[in-house]
Amino acid sequence: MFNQPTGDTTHRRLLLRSIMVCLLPVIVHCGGGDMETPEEPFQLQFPDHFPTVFLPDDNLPNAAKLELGRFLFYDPLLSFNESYSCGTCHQQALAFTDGRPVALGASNESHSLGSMSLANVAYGATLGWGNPTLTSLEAQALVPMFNEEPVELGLSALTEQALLDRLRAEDRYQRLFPRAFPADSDPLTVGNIVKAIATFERTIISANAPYDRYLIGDRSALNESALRGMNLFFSERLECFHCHGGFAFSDSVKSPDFPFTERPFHNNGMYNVGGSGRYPSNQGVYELTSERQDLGRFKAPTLRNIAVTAPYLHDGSVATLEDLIDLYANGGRQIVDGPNEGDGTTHPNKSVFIVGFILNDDEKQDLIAFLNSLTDVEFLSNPELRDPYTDATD
Amino acid sequence: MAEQNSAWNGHLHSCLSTKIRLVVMSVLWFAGGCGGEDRGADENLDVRIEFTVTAGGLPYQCGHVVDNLGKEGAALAITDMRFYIHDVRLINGQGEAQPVTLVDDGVWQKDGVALLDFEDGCANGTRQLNSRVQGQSVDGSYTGIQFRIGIPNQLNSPRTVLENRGSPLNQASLFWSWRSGYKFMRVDTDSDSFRFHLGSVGCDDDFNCRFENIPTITMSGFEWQTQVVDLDIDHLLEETNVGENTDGTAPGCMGDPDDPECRGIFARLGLGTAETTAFSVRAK
Repeated sequence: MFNQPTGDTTHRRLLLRSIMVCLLPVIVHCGGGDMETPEEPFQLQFPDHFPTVFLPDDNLPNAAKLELGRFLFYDPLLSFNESYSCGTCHQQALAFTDGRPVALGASNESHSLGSMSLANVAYGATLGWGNPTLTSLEAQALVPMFNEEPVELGLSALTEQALLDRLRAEDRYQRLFPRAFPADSDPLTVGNIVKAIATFERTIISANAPYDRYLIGDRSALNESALRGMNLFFSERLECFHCHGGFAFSDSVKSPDFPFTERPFHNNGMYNVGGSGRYPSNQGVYELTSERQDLGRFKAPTLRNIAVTAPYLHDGSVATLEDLIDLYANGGRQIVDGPNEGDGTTHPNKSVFIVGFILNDDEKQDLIAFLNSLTDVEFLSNPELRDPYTDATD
Repeated sequence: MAEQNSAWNGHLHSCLSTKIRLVVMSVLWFAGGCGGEDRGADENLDVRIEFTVTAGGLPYQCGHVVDNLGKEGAALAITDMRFYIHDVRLINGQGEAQPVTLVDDGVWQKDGVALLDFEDGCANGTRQLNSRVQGQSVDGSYTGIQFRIGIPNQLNSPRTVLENRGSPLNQASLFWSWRSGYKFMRVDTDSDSFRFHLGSVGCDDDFNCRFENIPTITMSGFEWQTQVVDLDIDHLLEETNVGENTDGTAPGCMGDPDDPECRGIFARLGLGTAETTAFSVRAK
């Protein structure tokens, strides 16, 4: 029986493969837990009107990993001076932003970019404001942890061993790491820390704003003003939707449902220092590529929950939605004096969709009413996403 | 440097260099790249290659002020001095390059990559030091050396961290997280306006990079038993104004070849058209 003719072998291989394919979902959903206490079949829950979320083969979720990731996300042990966690700059009540123009790191160093909202971050084609190389949440988590320019969590000041020893000293982590990574003989590793955090981040889903309820069929979820604003938002006159379209209100999305993934970045004409094409403190994608056509190109952030994520733009230089709409109506920003003087509206890399528009006061209020309808109140206080260290009910 | 050139006159040297390159290319073709973990069957020569770093004409000391650095003669304390190397080869009298298979030692060497660490934690680094690379090669008599600075392109990604490959690939202060790779060489100073981090830039997410910035250092007239490879910081920085940063560019050099503070350093590392003048051969 070990000398089957080739045809038979092929047939057996195919049969085996189809059995394995049938078994695969079962294996996937039973990933968690150790041998003694197997986890319940597990699947992350995603809303029906959203596309399938991308899950990397080498980091499938399980319940212990999700719990571990949540504790790690909010744990100040993950900063060099034990003062900061991921949750310091990504606060749930502010749709996982921090309300600051630009972020402030654990060593009080000011950054050149603001903390981005993590709402629906699992769908991001790229992560961060302007980094085409950051395409996985796992790799992204290494940036705030270890970055030195600027210091975010500042963990590169510790040896890897010192960081792992810190976590090893906690009973919770002694318990959770082996359950989250049952196949690993030594599960407490930097790689597994970021895998757990990424697993938690994939559950940061905002899909229940009035706009969503309207989409699903509740025609009363948006009032007349918001409906007029929606039509303006999706019009060729305003062109907002080209960069901020789709379920994520960002064109930088990925999903196994989409056969093609774009990794778009746009220059929105907000600076052009001295006519040089440069931006004041952060040059966007250019920082990575050193190519002039990438000066001032940034990822279009999600507009979901935008009412609570002020101030706006990559550097927080716009305080209100009214001001922001005025700048886009102007086709960009002209700065007439000071160190950043320059005409952003004529930036050579400016997106062709930022052409300017005229909006009367009523229309502007309608547009803002629509943007406000993207606020998902349930998301902002979802107990499953809350800081578990301060959550008395948890 | 003198020793490097004394054995050959210019003509002979350039002929040999061409020949070495051809041989290296054919070795690469057959061996399929860098020195891996599995030693070859006939690699029975234990090799130990020693490195030194010189600053101000003296052995480098972490945090000590060095006068007269760079084009404008600045005084700086150099607070970090580390670099990775890989693809180490010894070159015999016939110009043939033999790979040195690096031994995984759990600390300084892993997967064909070695970390050379000359800072003692005087600022932010680690106390431990390493100035040697150990491995095996084919028995023979060697008169030259070649190695590449940095991490091989296929390991230069966050995957390497996620795979938990261990030391020295897990040195967090050598992660270049925002560029999704590693710092190949790290030379920090006590000045806010100058530090040098070498690494690949302009990469896409498959790590095809516009500038890999992996210098190949080739030196003739080198006997590993009696000589060391020296990196001279004065020579490395000689063409660069280290006292002042060009406006609108990263402080010092962060790997961008368009940054004026990078051009001179890159040339000295042999990343341009000329060969390296920062590295040289010295007696032990």
